[in-house]
Amino acid sequence: MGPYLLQRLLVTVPTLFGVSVLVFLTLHLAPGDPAQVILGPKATETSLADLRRDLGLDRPIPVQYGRWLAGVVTGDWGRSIQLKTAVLPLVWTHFKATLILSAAAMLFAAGSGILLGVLSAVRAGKLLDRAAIVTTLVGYSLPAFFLGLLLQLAFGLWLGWFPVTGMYQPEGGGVLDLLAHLVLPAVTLAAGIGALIARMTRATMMEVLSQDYVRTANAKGLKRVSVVFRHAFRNAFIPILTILGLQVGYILGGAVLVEEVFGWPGVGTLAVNAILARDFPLVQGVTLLVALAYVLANLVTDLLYTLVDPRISYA
Amino acid sequence: MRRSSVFFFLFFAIGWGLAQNESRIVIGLQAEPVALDPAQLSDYNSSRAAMPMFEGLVRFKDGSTELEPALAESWEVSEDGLTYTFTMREGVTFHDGTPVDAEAAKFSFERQIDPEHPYHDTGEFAYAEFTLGMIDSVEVQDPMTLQVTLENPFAPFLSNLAMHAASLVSPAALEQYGRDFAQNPVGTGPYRFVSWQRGTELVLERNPDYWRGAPEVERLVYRPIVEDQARLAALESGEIDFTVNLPVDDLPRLREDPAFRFEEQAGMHTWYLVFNVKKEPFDDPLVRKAVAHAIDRQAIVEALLGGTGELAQNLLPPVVWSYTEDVEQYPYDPERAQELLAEAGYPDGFEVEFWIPQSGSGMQQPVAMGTVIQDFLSRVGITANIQQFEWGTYLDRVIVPEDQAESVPAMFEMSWVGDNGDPDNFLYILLSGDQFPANGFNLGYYNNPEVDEILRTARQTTDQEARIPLYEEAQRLLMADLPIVPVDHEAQIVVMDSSIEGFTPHPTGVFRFETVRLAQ
Amino acid sequence: MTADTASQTSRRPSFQRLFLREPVTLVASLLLLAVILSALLAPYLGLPNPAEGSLIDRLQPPGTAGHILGTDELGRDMLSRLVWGGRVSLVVGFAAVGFAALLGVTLGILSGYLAGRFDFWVQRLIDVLMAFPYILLALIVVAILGPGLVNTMVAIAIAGIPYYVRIARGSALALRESEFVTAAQAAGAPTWRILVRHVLSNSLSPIVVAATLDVGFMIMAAAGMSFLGLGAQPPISEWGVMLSDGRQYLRVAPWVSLLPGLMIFLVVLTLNLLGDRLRDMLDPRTLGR
Repeated sequence: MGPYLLQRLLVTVPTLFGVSVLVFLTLHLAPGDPAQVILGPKATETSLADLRRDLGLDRPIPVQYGRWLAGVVTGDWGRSIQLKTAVLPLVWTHFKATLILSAAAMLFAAGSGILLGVLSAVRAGKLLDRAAIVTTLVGYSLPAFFLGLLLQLAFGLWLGWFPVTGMYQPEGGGVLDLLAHLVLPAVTLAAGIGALIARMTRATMMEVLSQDYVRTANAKGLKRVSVVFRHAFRNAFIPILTILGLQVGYILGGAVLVEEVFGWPGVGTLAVNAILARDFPLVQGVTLLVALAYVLANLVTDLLYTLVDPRISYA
Repeated sequence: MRRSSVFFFLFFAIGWGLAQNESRIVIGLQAEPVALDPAQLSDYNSSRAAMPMFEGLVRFKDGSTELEPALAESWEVSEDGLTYTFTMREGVTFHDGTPVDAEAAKFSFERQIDPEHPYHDTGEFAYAEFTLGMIDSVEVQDPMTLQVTLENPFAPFLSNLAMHAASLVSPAALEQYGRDFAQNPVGTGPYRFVSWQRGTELVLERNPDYWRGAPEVERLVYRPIVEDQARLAALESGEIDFTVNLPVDDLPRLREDPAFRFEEQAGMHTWYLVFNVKKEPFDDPLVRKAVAHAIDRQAIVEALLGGTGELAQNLLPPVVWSYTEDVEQYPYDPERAQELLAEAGYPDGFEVEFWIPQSGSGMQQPVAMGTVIQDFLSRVGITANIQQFEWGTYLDRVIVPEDQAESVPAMFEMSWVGDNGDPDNFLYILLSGDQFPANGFNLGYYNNPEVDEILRTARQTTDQEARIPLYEEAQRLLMADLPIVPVDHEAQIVVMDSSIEGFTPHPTGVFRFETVRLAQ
Repeated sequence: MTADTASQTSRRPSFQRLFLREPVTLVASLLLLAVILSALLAPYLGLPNPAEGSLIDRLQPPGTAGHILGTDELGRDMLSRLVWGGRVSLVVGFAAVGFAALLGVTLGILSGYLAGRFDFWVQRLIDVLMAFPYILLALIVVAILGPGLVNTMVAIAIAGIPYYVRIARGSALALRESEFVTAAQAAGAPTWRILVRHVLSNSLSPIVVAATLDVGFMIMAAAGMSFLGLGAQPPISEWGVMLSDGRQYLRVAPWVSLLPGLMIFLVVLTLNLLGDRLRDMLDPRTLGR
């Protein structure tokens, strides 16, 4: 475990380096003078000169990168042009909202997806299985922004069961308040991923169920439920875990669209506005934080993987 | 709690309790405020959220743009119209407890207009030049007496002092927060800052020490809800109590509902098309007139805007004094448009660039309106190629100095909301020859020496009666030459819970809650 | 060589079986064909101009005389806008997949076949690109290039490259050691020839399956970017933009928003269905993305 952890961490380092370079370069890849890009076309010559000096824009690119990275590491992520405030606290506040939405969606997608997949595999070929197959196909063909709109229309505007926008009641804050606001966006975000998880769970379970020891267990007359959950599912669990890990990127990406539909105060909404306003420090802040989170999530999945299955080691 | 859902009520009741007996108004904004520093306000959402916390030396009366004393108790203007002497109101303090005096006023002005001021780097003051740029010097004669000297006589100066950027800010707070003052605002207004969670809500509470008496409503909560339909749903479910700019097509239904109260006011607003007169073919007034005749503006106002605006006959809105309808009219007449085009040498029409913003303060429905205009123009042979921009980017691209006039498209959408109720604030700022960007907002570079002379005389004349005929003449000349096509004047339509009583919309578009009561 | 011909022969009967025995697949294929044909033939269908409308006829419900699917907020014919919108969405979807597949497969095959240092650096690049969630990567590219329909297409294509690199590299790595490749190498065949004749042609089936499934995904991604306001600009009819703009009228005229949403859904659904069938036939292994 120890050496594996170390090795896995070491592999992450060049990736993180690449990520930081790419994020840093967005500013320089955008057409135009970076100082002008940051300050906008209305900037005066003096403020442009000041910024060039502050950021060291007259220095070679690697030196600039070093300074930028030093800032990132020490918590100075620059200032948003559009929102006139420091980037890091701003991005962090919004990121927490995205995290809540993503976690809820993941939980819901995993729960419903695994359940549907297992049931579908157990009842392979039966009506339930066919229904599940259709459901999952529909699930991952529904664009999140369309599904969100449908749910908003049905459960928000027509039935009035759930609020259609925001994260809390005015001056609210309780868990239940959050849950009420979370239901529709989380379900929307979970639909596509839940469908994928269900499909893959079904495939994995089918494979396991057809293996000898399961047949043996069945032959020994063990209860069907016990066979499925004690024997088969335990062995299908590791591949399913991998599948869940793969979906983290989907969730974080899909959150952008879902946040826009439901007015959820997360990084997605922040990023879209920042792009439209060409607010590069903020674009960099959001992309960097989300990428870091994603790399971290992948790392954790891998580690969980070894924890669950000690046979695996890093090769 | 009207009409709120079973589920929701349940969640709300358990989760938050029913202990919320404070009086509170929740306001739905169209977008997140940007900054709460009065010197940096450039959009409605920010000014509506920030202005309950601030005041200037003078203020507009409720519901009008007439002036009344505020932080200055009284003032005197010298004979030559150059020197203003203000006597500060005694006993007023900022929300942080520091006293309001002449020094604070000097600080608030000079911070914006003096590049050498130690706090000049605490923000970008887009309206400083426009609001306070005519000031030559500010002097503190004694702690309670402030003397302001102008470079030239400027008739609307006192009105300017009631504008956002002339509000007084606490010097102590700026010293403490620096650039972050915009997130930690401290002023003298009827409400004071409590908290701001970006993207979620801004909370203000009443200022118990407000010099005109503490307001009745205890808390104001501002929530940004970008989607119009979502804001509407929030209003109907009781999550917000008060909002503006709801979807036009939903208004008739709401009007019939006794749960809501409507307050409306003719707006100090004009939505117009700008021609870049430096570019062919709009250097020719005949072509400009052809465009005006080609567009069915009446249909736009009635069908698309659902009567939420009034057809514009003139750049100046009817609510501003000196307005006249005795100007050349441009009814919908595509045949006349084609005749004019033929006369100007374009019998087969032409192709132009047409820029529009995706949204924006006062822009109403810029994309839908632009698309309809494009459609009308295509019917007389004019091909308008639309290009769309985000509002901030849009402003950056169309507000450019004359030497870059080539980069500005031949035609684009714009709107203007009056800041101080003075005709100068429309006619001079938007169409005088010395108001090309960055001086002012003459974005199409229109230059008519005859008009300029009249407008300049009018702004230096302190007698209002004498100014009226000058502005009437300017309107006639301008509409005969048509540097812009006015389309409509948007009405301010505020929809609120019927329990809110005593709200009067203000022509400047800010919300004043200090006069409001909540019926039980 | 033998593997190639074998798969050729086994392909034909399964296609027949596919269409004769599976009505769902048949319906899906016909539906997709109809959308593609109407998009291709849009100018010749005698539909009203999708950019022209009459404000008096705005927000007419489906079923109105002269406007089978109703009109939008500017009085434009919904059917016409949907057909022309399909043109944009399909072109963007297919073009993005083509672009991503071309670059991704080239890079992947070279990387897998050449191995060594080239492979190492390509892998590091892919690692970095894959450290960003898909939509975020597309957003970064749009941030650099600026919003717009073409830029959006480029963005979603670039973000899709790693997917194809992975698939193609996997195949190439396996084929590199295969008998017929080593045989060709021994016979002195030039590298490009081996790459095209042996490696690429034998990697095609997983790539084709992946690409088919990806078209639907790309159409969704492009519509999503347009929905966010970063893609197509008016007066272009594009499904994502139509859905987004229509939200304003959701209560009084839900069809303005729901119909384009339904079209995206149906096209993606049929593409996914056909992709799944294709995969069942060509490549039994599950390809996750």
